[in-house]
Amino acid sequence: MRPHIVRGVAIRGIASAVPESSITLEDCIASAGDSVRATAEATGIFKRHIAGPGICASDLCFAAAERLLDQLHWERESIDHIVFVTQYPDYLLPANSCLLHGRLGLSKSCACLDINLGCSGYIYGLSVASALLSTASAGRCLLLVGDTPSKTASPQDKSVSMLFGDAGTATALEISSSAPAMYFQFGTDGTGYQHLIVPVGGFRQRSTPLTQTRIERESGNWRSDEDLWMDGPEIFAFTLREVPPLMNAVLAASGWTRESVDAFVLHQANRFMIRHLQKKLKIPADKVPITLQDYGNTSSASIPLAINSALKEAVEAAPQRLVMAGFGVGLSWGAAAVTCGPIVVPEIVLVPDPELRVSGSTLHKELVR
Amino acid sequence: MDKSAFLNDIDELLELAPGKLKGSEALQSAGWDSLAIIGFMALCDERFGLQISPMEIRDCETGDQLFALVQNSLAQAKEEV
Repeated sequence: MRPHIVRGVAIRGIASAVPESSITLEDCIASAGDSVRATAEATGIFKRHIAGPGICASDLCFAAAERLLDQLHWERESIDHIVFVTQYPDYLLPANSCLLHGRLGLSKSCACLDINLGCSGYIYGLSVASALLSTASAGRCLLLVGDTPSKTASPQDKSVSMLFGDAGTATALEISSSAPAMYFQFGTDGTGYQHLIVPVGGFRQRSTPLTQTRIERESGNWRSDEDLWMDGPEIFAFTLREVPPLMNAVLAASGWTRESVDAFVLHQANRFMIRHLQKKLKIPADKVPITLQDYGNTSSASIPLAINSALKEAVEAAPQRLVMAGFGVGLSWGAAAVTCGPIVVPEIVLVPDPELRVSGSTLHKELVR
Repeated sequence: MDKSAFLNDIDELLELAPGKLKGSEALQSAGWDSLAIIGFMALCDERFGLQISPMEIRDCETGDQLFALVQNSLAQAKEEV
């Protein structure tokens, strides 16, 4: 597939927000027993921030956007577009981008749209937002990317229960004639859609009391048809098949050598997968940040959150050559080669839940119930 | 490919003592779950450059069958070259 190239658009800042409530491995051991330790050691995930009933992806993105706009000193009226990437919207309709337009108090001439993608969503969002901007002579765009996958992960399904965390991010983009080109590469295999899915709750199959009931499935896992199902081996198989050629293609498009790249920011799915890909691609480990130990797999938010938590000082200080890759639900994948920095990167915002003020272990028990 | 070394790798994946699996035991009762399957896929990729489909791996009930699957896949890969 031919690369997409966007010229004349610069990233000005990246902010992230997570729910204040978190669940640690110790909390999980306290409620589910010591056997869960092996799972955490395999995935590398020891803590996750979890959105309680009062927090949606939109609230996390709102907190991130407010912090970012304040630190950039951008007037609200100067925003021309919102692109919101999520698979956990507030409503089936209207779109999250419209809700945030109202909440952020933006101008009525602002264009707003949502994109329904998960693990590959940040790359798609960055490409669409940049392409939208590049068709205008001047302008600014807020790319809001966030998910709350923990809301659909059955706590009694060990294939997903200790994997997912929640996060929302905001990326500020601006027209700039001096900005270096961004290179994008995409791919899709829709025949594998059933390997990562929440089967019920859309319009193909509506919610009923029966679809809400958790029943016993493979390997003693319990989940309902409204919970997330992930076939881990199938996801790993497609990743092994598609991600190495994807990364090579985006490197070829940009003309960058592996050595000239400052960091390879991969979707933070699990540590085992990231390390395997890193070795297979023959990239030094210190160029592939892993930040999921404190956040889990946060779906579309994982790439900007990883930049916030692992590369903050670097991108604040000087231009960095970043190669980013997202891959998962769809099945969908995408990679970007982007020169980023110096940019504004606020500290990660902790968002309190207005409806819930409890510790991790209490929250875990609540969720299990 | 040495079968006992191969079975030792499966022992390691399942956190069993080396030499525990002789080949005919049911994998299911030895803790063969989706994490173990992913570990096995990574091992096949790293060691043999083989990408075996999860469906074929799930069809295997014993270490012997896994060994046969890898041998067949290697032979097939050789033919394709």
